[in-house]
Amino acid sequence: MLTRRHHFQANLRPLAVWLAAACLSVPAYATGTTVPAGTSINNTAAVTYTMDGKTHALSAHATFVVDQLLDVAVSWQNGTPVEVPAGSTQRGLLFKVTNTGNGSDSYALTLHASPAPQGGFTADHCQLYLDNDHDGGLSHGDTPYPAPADAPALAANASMDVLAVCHIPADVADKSLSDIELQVASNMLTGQPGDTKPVPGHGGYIAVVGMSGNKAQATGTYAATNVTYAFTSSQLVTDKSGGHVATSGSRITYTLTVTPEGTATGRNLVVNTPIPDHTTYVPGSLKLDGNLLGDSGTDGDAGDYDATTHAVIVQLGDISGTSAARHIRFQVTIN
Amino acid sequence: MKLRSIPLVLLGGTLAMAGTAHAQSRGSIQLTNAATQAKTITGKDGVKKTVMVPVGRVTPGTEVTYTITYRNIGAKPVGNVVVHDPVPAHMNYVAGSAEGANTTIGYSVDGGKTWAASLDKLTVTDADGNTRVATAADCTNIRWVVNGQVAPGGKGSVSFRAKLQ
Repeated sequence: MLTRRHHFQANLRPLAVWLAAACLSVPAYATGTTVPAGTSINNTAAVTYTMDGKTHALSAHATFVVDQLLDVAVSWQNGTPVEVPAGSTQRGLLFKVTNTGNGSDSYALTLHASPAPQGGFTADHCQLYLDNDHDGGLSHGDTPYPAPADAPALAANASMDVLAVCHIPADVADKSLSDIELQVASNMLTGQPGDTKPVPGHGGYIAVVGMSGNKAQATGTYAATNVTYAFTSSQLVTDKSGGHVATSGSRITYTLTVTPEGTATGRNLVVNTPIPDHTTYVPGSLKLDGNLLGDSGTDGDAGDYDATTHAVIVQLGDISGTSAARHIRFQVTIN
Repeated sequence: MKLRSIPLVLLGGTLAMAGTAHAQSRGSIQLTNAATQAKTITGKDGVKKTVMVPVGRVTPGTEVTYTITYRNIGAKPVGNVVVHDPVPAHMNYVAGSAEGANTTIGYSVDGGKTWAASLDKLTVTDADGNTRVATAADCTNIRWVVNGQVAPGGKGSVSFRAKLQ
């Protein structure tokens, strides 16, 4: 047991210093941030008393050092399935990994893709990136998440934004879902709550696994978008006498209907329809959605008749799966 | 609390962390300060029970019990005995945990400038200038005013619990 000589003045001085400091630090008691590992917690109890009319004082100390609590949490940030076009590697799922312990740690991250329970597809070629610019998407400044040995240290209470970027197969159905699970495991120590190990470089305290086991996982979801086009064709024959006999000189009116289905947008859709053999295109008969189009390839509009290939060509451009059906109409005469 | 604290004081080596001090012969009061924590152990009969042990493994959220023991080791009675303990930095006082037989307990939320018999009789002003009734987390200091004199050989102990932030 320690024995110290205590003098009145010497004992009151630390107390007075503490009182001054307390006035400044009172709000800290209310806010209560997690105390860092390695912090020395000092308690000084004091007693004052009188004997023979004189006042005496002395104090006694109790000190301990805070151990490192090892805990981690991860959450998916997007909240709703992230829409991504079939056949693309355009968008990532955003996760936030937070060191909920009170000391520095680093983490190994792994991804596991599976079809969503309600039916879906499996995204593939998943890769992890650090969302360095915190814009929630994959951009030039973002870097691949390193192997465990090179994983960045995460300070206590700090978090990092991580993007899981996967390839969406081209043949997946519109609105089908793929789950991506991000698994996080401490490089320092994982295990049962209460498991311990020494902290390298720190003899004064140890690391203790917290309630998370120092591992965590969260699942995000991709929603694929895709588009298909249904083509239907109808024809109406009109002969010279106003009947419907298909004979030389009769006129055939063709109507092509392009109906998009899905939530994606197809790019640069071109309809190229050769006219039937033994027919002749009726100049100036091409219409798109009821509007006349010139036959020339250089007139700047969306439609042409190519006299070399005997084909009607209409540039429909980018067609959203949710847009209205398009109608192409032209006429030919039977030779 | 007294019965609990006495064996802890005898634990010698372990108590190096929970330091102690006492007065010289010129004075008359010996004071010890022990920090302990609850630990669940399984007895030989397989029954789990909670015992208090000197602080060992402490992480955020751990509750620590501070037990301060005073003892008159002199030949004369002493009076006006007041034990005073600031709640340590990085710790929050646990509501209702201050104990001390034969003492009048006081609380402060301003570093010991003003005192009250309970925290709900004190107020604090937050950063926005709003005043509210104090809670346990606001407590900065606790004191125990010992009733009457402490005779030679007399002793007592007071305690409180605080939770690591």
